[in-house]
Amino acid sequence: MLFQIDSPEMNSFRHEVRTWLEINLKKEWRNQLHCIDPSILRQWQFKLYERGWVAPQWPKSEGGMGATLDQQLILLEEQARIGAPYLFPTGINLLGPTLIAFGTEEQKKRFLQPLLSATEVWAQGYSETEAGSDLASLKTSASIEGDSFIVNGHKIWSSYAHLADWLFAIVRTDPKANQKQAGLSMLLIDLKSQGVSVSSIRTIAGHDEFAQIYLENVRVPKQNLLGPLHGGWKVANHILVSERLSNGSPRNLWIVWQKIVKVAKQTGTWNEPIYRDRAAQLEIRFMTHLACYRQAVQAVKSNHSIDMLAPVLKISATELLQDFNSLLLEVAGKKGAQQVFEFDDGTCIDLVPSRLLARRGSIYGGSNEIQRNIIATRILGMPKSW
Amino acid sequence: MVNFFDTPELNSDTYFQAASKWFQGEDSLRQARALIDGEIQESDLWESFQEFGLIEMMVTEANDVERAKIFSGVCRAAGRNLYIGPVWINPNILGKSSEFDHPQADGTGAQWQSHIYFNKPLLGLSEKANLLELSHLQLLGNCARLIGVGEQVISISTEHLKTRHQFGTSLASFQALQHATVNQYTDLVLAGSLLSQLVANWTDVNLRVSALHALKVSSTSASINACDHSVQMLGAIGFTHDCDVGLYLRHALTLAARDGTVHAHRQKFTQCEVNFLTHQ
Repeated sequence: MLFQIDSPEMNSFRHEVRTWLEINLKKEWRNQLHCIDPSILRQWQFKLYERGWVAPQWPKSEGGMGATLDQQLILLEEQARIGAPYLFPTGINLLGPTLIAFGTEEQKKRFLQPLLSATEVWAQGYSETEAGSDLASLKTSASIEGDSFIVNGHKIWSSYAHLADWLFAIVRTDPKANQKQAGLSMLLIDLKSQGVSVSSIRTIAGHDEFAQIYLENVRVPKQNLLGPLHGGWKVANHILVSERLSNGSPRNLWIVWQKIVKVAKQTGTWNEPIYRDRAAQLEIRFMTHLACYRQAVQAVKSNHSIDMLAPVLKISATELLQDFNSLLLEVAGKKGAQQVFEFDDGTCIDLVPSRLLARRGSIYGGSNEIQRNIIATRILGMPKSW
Repeated sequence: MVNFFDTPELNSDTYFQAASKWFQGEDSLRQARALIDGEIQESDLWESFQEFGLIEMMVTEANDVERAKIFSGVCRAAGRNLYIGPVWINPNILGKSSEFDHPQADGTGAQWQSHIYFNKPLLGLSEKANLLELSHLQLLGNCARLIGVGEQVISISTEHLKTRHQFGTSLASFQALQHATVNQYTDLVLAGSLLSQLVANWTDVNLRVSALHALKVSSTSASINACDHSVQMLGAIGFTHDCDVGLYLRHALTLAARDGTVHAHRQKFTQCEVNFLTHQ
């Protein structure tokens, strides 16, 4: 890895990971950036779970790996190198750490293990039609009736909710609160409950990736309240430092960069100066991104804040990925509008879906416009402009 | 004035801090203006810098990484404070490789070729290795200056946006201006990261060469764009001779033309044996 010389311990861990991945990750599961068959995802996650590597950043006591940051990065780099599929992101990255921080002992005991092994898949219920970037203006409500909440409303843009078993959703429990951020609570909702209906949404890339969820008088037991009543805003915003780092992760950049080089070499564009120069421009931006990512990793290690770097990394990673994908289609020449590119050795990669999928990066996880607002106000000290 | 690019790392960099203090004490910004106005000569800058012994002491006694760290820290501070003279002088060792026909954009003269000279060989290096090391350091210092220039002008123009009111509100409250500024900010942060990581891995010579090419490309565009943006944000004031941002822009243009242009470095970058694939 650039800007990183492995210590002997890191080197031996890297070797162990690489060897294990070579043996355990089936060839047909590799390099599939698009949403692959969920049953494959479940199988792959279960394999990692059995090996103990599914949640490197979680503490050991909660079923995670308790890995050092270096080990986490090695796992990430090696999975990128071999083109391993992404796991269901919501459970391990978002809900898990939140459950560990805010959950009761009963909740942790009930939910963490099935989440890790992918026997229960989770979806996130944050956005609504009128509450996207301005999440706090959400309207889905929950009123208390006996020992249950009665939930009514509509959630949208929930990744994989149509394949999921459970939903963690932020809802309004106190409509009279002074501030819109107050009066919100986080609920764990069984998607098999009566009154829940889920329909998938097809993306521009042709995948049923998102879903919308209608909640009509859905009864949720009180013990499924996560964190304090009316204290859901804090719970919703609980994102671990390692998660903030993952927004700027170079993982997808590595994968697409390898595709560009391989495709360009086969089509011959690699040796054409005009393409090579464009590739160099992006490669140089990639190098600066990697340096910045490494900088953030070192900041985390020395307990420095990454508030300054996190939004920069998010913008840089997602916009660079979009530019990489544009180049990918160009180096493919006249085959650039194909769904799939086939190499001489018979292997195939996604072409157009990869290009289209990259569009989402600048939209989700706090759109890049929001990231720019954050830099302007919190770092450059400019007034709020919205 | 707050500099928005002050990281914990930079705050604890004693060389950067010492150099910043020295340049401020010398009132280097005023000197840069006097140089452009023809009131002083470059040699005046050289002479005063010799009194600042930090560089000589450290480059002759420090190891490779430390030397790169000192040099980039001092040059970044030089960029921020618009100290446009060389940071050490001994024309017998390095320099005189190219002569310019006309004075440069920042007022430096035709005889000013290189901004790094050492008065004795670096420790433990043969003459040839010494020259290579010096040329790498020179390029590194040039890039660090470019980044320092960009960091300073963005801080100056952002302060201006916050202070100046039009349409009954501060200019900084307009999102169009905010996002344009943020784009300059992010490019400079990214180039600054590359500078830090390159210095930290200075002993990896293969990486060093390709990263230096990448750094000249990224620091040049980040710096010049930041200067142009700042002139625009200051409006008609920014277009005047009296406004400091113009001095920064002139210096950035001069640095951009030195030690290889963006295109030359991009071309060399493609020829480097070390690229991402071999490094994985």
